[in-house]
Amino acid sequence: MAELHILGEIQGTTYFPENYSLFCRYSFQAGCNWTVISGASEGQTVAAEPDELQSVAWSHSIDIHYLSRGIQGWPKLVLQVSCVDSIGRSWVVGYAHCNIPAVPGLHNLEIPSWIPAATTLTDRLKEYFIGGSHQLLNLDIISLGNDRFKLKTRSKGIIKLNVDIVLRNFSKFGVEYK
Amino acid sequence: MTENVELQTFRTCYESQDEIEEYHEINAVVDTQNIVQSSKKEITINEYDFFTETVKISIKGVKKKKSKKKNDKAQILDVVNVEMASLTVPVTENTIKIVSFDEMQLNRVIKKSSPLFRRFLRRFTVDAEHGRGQKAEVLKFTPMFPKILENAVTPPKTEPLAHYVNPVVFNDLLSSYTGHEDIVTETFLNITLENLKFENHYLFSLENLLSTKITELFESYEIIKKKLYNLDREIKISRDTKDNLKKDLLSASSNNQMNVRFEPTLRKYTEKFFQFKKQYKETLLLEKEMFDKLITLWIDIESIRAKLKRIKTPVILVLNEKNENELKEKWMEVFNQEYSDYLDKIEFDYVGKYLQYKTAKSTGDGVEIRKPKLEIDEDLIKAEVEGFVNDAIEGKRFDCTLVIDNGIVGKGMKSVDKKPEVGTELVYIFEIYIDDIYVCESEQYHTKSFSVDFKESFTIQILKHNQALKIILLENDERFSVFKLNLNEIKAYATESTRIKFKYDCDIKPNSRYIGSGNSIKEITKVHDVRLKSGHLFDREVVSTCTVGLRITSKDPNVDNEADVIKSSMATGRQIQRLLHGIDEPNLSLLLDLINKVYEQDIGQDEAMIMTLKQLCKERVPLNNNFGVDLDAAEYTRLKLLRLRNGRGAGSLRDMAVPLHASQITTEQLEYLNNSDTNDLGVEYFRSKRPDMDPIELKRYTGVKYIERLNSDMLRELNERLLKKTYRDVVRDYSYGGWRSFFSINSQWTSLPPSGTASTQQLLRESIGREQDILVTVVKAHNLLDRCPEMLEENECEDRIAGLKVRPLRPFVRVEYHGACAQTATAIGCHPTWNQTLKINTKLSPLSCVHVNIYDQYKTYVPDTLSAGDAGKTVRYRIHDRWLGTLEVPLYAVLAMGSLRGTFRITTPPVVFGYEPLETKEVSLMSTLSQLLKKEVSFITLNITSSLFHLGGSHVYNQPTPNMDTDRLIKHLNQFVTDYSNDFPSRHLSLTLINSMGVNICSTQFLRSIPLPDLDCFPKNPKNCESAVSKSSGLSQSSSRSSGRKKEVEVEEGSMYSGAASWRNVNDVTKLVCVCMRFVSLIPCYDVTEAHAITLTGPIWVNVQSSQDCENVSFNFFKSSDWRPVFDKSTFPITSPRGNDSGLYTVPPDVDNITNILETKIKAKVQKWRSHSKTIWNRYCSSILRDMLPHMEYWALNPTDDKPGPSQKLRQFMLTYKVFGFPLNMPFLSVKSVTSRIKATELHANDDPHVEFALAVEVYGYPNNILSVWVYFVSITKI
Repeated sequence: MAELHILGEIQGTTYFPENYSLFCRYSFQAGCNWTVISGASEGQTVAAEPDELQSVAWSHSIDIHYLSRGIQGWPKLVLQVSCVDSIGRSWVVGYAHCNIPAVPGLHNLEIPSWIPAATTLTDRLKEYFIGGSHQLLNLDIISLGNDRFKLKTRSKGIIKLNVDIVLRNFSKFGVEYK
Repeated sequence: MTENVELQTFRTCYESQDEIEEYHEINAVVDTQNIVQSSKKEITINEYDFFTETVKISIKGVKKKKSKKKNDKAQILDVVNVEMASLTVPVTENTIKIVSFDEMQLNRVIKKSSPLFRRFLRRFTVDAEHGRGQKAEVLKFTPMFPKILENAVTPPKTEPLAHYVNPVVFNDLLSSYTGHEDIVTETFLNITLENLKFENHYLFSLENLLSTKITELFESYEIIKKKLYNLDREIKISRDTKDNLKKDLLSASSNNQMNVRFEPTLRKYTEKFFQFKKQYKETLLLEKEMFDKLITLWIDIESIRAKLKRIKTPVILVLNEKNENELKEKWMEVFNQEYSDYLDKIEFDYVGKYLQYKTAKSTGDGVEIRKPKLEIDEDLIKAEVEGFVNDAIEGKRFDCTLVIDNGIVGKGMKSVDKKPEVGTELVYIFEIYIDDIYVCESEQYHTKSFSVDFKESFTIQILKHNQALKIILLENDERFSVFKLNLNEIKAYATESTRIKFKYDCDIKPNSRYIGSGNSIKEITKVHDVRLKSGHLFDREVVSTCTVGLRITSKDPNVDNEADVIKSSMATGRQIQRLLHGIDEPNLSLLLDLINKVYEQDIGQDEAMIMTLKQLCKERVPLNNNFGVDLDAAEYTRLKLLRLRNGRGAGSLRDMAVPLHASQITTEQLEYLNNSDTNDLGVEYFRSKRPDMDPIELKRYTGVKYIERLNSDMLRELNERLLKKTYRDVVRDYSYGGWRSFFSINSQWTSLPPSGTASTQQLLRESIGREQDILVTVVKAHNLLDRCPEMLEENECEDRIAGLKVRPLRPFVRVEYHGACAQTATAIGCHPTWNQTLKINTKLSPLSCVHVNIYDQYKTYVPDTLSAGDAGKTVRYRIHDRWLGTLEVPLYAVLAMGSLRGTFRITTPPVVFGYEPLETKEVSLMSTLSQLLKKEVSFITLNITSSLFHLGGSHVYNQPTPNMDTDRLIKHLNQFVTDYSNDFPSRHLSLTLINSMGVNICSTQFLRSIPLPDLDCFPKNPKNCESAVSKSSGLSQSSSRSSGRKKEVEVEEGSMYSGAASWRNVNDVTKLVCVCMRFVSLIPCYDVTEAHAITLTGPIWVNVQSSQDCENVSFNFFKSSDWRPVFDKSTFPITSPRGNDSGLYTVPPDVDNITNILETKIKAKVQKWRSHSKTIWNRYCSSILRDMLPHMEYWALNPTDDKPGPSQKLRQFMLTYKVFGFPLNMPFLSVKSVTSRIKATELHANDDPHVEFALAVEVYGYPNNILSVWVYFVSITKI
């Protein structure tokens, strides 16, 4: 049985136009061949206020240990960034997704995020004056490739992530790393 | 005992949920579990599955491949379809819009079809094409088949994917956020209800009520009595201690009596004593009270019984009265005692007060306290003591016991009342609620006697927000009582089942028969029309109550079926065993957990317990099992000596007297002790290695150990008998001829043996205990493998010595024994001569072997890139030792023969890359000899002797004297041996051996023929075997040893024609014999557990070939002229072998595990040996080598076939790489033996930084766990 360790942290994010506190929910998604042995595959970071450079530091540590019986469904990380405004209201400001690298070693990842754009004028006005945002009805869209073409999105900030990948016993199955 | 700890396994048939669990046990347990698992049921994922399959496919064999392919095709098609469907098709952009006209328009067009209208129509269509037509219907045109659209993953959706969401309050969001911890906290509760019993029921009669009460009271009365008894004892003890202490103090201190009183310890004990007395008095009062209650109740019961004239309950209270005189005596006794005690108390109190006064005075603030005065009023004291004693004795006068006599029930009934009491049947049900939500209910319990014995368990899931557990008791479908339990109060480990009380909530009016519920006793008595003296004993209201045993345990959510429960309890057991055997260090949490599990109690709260456990954890029990015997003590040495003498004592120690005092032990004895102080059974080693041993290896290991043990035991026993024999020999007793001849202590029996322990055997055994020299004279070798021409290119200049071109081979010999080694200088050429004597000084053990390895010293020049300046001035080269062959000489042979001189055949691997058999193209003096040695067999001439050579030579085969004249077999054998030794004087031949009865038997007497294992077990010919001219060397291992001793006894398979049916197909007899020999050669030498099954059969054939020089001796079974049978068919008819016995052979073992273990182990070992440099494994080359191994194995089985040469791939590979290596084949004894074989080749000792290695390990399993291990080990350097 091959094993995969994902060690690292969600460092933070930059370039989010919202000048509010931001927090992030993450969840690791993997196929049916994969079993989480230890570690939390879902979680939520702190709500952190951005500094003058528009960057937010979460430094949320990740330590997950997967057991794998096949390459299919290699773990993915699905991220959802929300903001908390000055009066304590919260809405989603960005979705992002990345594949966990399959190469062992340290990886510094920068994951761009996006949000469904407001399509109608009223929505746009609402967003402008009240706050709130367009949110996905079905979160599967974040990580799945199909059915996205109907979506109009707007790009948002970049989420920074560094992970160390440690693989074990993959060479048994012919996966080789030099 | 310890061995068993790990070996328990419990297999469940379902695997899916075990995976994670098994993972956790990867380090320690899984390996050992595998040992027991014989059936391989685990899910194994091969590479293919790993990449392609998410669901395992269990189609087997040839079918599998086909279906897989089909599958693949189908998948590809699907993928293509999906791809196509998801693509936006370019053609769809060009949509054609068909304008639909309304009917009228159409009619007009069709009917009139005027050219004008047609023109208009055309214009209209054009308009429509521009999109202005409102009713235009768009027909999409796709180039795909309709099926593809159906297959498309995404059916068109119309709903929007995103929508506007108002902001939510962050705090709400947080509260709604459920972390992953919540999943863990969901718990299960096991609720066990048992044994419903009513203490009080509204259907009870008054008598019932009273008798339950009296039983209850009597129980508490008994308890009080017991307490009194205990207190009495305590008082006595503390009185005695106090008095003794006082006496001691008085006698010890020369001071006056006053000071003793102030002695704090004495005061402490006295205080304790008075405390006990006080308690005693209090309990005495209680007892009296209780006794009174019992009496009143009993009177009431009697009156009711009298009134109703019948007895419903089986309760009788019996009063006993004690003898008056006895009491009087006792009174006096107790009075005296009490009187002195009272005086003591007064004194004690006074001293207490006085001390208080003193301290107050010294501190200065005790203004108020006056100096106490001792006031003694004798009468008052007397009266008080009398009163107390009276009370105490009076209480003892009466004694009551409660007797349950069922016989009296129903007695005294009048005939009128004979109507039996109608026990109304009641039905009880328990309903369980959690937070007012109905969860489940129990079964129905029917009873007539107000008590039900039952036990029922429920498992309830408790959610996080659940608060309370409610159990409702229903009687005849009516709710009567509710029991509520707060879930927070439930502990993880419930104690023993507690009795909980259900009280009925309802009021039922009493009537003449029943007491009802919720009424005061007064009302009841009113209805019953009786007056009760004991009315005050009851509560204000008599409520129906019942008790039910309740036990709540929280259930581990992971453990949800029986198998898991068993598994977990097994794990607990294992843990305890580990603790017991000191494998695990105890720690607090572990112990707590264990105790909780075992006793199902939460002792976390028990502080005393925790303290004890902590203490336990802190304490280190020293791990020596010598029970307080000091290892260094002289006495211990003496004990060891004694044990040694009585046991397997070494040498002359046997006859020595061990002195009585340790100080008298002689140094000689000590020396013996030191020599013999070896651990014969490597328990430590065994324990350390056990986890990573394969079952087969484990079996082998125990087999070896068993043989060693057996051997030493047998030796000891034989020696004992021999000693006896020695005495007999002195008086020339010849009746035990067989014995003498076997051990052949002295061939000259006419002279008396030297005094004492004369036998050379014993001398030999003694000397073996000390360090001895092994002397190996390496004389010369013949026909070694020569270097290939392509390897010579670089070192041309080396080939010349003094201007003469010589053969490039630089062989040398290394002799190893038990880690000690010595090596010769290098010689030149394929027929080198060394004439060098190597000496190894070590302890000898007769069962081991001397290893002789031959290497070629190979030099490569290193291009000196670093120092460009003085290029050409220094020559740097690397020396590699390249292994050419090996030879094992059993030390036993050396010791037995004294010195062993002979030419031995070298075991060479079938192929050595870079080396080839010597070509004899040159015309030289050697050519004639070379012509003779066309064979591909190398020989070495050795002379091995030891410093004990003078003791050798005793093992001359003495012909046994036939015991009886009728023993014609022995006679025949003797005759044969005589003939044979006349023909071949230099060859030894022994055909008999001595069984445990001391009788000579033919060496093959107990051998019986068995059918061969099924042909299917042997590998089939792998195709495309490439041709190479070669001859057998697969049998070399078995034959080299016997040739060394020149003892040409070969036992041949006689059942070749009558084997199993499958063998009949094999026409080729030679092939058959080869397979047999191969099979036998793979049996490890020491393995008894296996070897007993495989023996060769009856007839003996003796090699009678005429040639004497070693080079030409062969053991070719196909040359019948070389062999002479011992038994003619005429004189000794051969019984045909037995039929096919299916139990003889086990299925070939599964060798995957061993292969893996071997491969990883060898790799790890090689890396370890090469600790100074990085070891690179060439995978490509490994795979090539692995492909070649099946050919090798097949060839080993069929040595008459062509020897497999390097495969095409390998040849290509060898063009770019310089390859050196060889395949090694060996029977499997242990992993260690394999690695040591590899280490001996020194192939790993290559310090070229660019060297890479390739390793292929293949294990072939044959029946009865016989394994053939092939290790292909190759070092590669780029050219």
